[in-house]
Amino acid sequence: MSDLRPLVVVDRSLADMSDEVLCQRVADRDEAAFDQLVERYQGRAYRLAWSIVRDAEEARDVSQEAFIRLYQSAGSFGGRARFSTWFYRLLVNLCLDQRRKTRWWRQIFAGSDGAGRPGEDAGESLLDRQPAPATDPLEGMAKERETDRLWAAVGTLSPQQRAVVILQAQEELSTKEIATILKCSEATVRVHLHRALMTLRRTMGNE
Amino acid sequence: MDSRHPETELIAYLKDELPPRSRETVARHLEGCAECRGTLADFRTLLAGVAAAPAPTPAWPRYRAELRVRLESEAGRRRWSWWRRPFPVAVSAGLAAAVLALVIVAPSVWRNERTARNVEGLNGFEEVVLGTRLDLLRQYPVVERLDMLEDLDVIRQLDGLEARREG
Repeated sequence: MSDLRPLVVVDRSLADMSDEVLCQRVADRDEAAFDQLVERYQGRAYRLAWSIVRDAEEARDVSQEAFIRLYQSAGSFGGRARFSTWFYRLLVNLCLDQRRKTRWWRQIFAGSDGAGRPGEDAGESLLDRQPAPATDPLEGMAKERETDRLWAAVGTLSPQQRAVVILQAQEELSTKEIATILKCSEATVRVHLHRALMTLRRTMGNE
Repeated sequence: MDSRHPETELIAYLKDELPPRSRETVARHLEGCAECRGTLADFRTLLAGVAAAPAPTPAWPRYRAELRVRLESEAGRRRWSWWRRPFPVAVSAGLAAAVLALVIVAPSVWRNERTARNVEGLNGFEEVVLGTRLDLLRQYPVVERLDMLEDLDVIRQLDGLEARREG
């Protein structure tokens, strides 16, 4: 059980620092600052990665890779954008690359897209898993089924559309920030979001 | 009411990113268009649903431990980048030694060869000169007995001496 012991002892003063300051310290090879950023972003990074790649193992791999890139290239964060925008851009690009790489064999092994139901993480034992966020407002079996349907519908979106929906819904980023992350225009982000929501609406039978 | 249904403007309206005048226009349209009001309400519900939907959650201590291991192995890999690994180092060192040897040894070999060719050339030249002076060599026993400083006249007359002797 030793591997379940928290490895990170977070410095209280670091906990008060902004993401941008922590990133500057990571650029100076401050390991504690890096651990602090990982603590802050691990949940959102993993969730965002999972939402795009729809595979628990890949989400783990890609989100960890994003943190490694963060450690290696923290010096290139110019501070012009928010740290979160810069980091999400790194992460989303890795996710989209991952999708492109795995697309061909997913087609071969169609039927097992590795997504599974949320909470059914094939790569982990029951002991590894932690409870879903306590903020989940959906209760009861009917709502659980609706959630499953919604995630299945999200799974049918293109990776770009899915990324826009997740960044909008979960991170509540501005259109400008999402455009920066996806390297496209704000108009394109709005078109992606509109089409994605229309597709979801149709799939969920609301139309 | 504006008869054109707002599409992407609806998204901007939802995100509260429209300039005041456009926002007013969309708001006016929504007042009179039940279809767009329904679409907007559905968009809000869907986004709320996606925001609240639970994603799988890994065990974070294990996640961070794995990340640390990956980070360290990555750092090790970068430290031993390809051109610093044993095999490329050996190949590079071998190549460098070969080039060095070529630079040092080749000119001296070339120089020796050239010198040998020069010596050969010099010997040939001497033989030609000697060939032209064979008559003098034939008089060598006479020359041998002469005192160089005192008998210069005799030396000057050597050719005549021979001719007279034959005559």
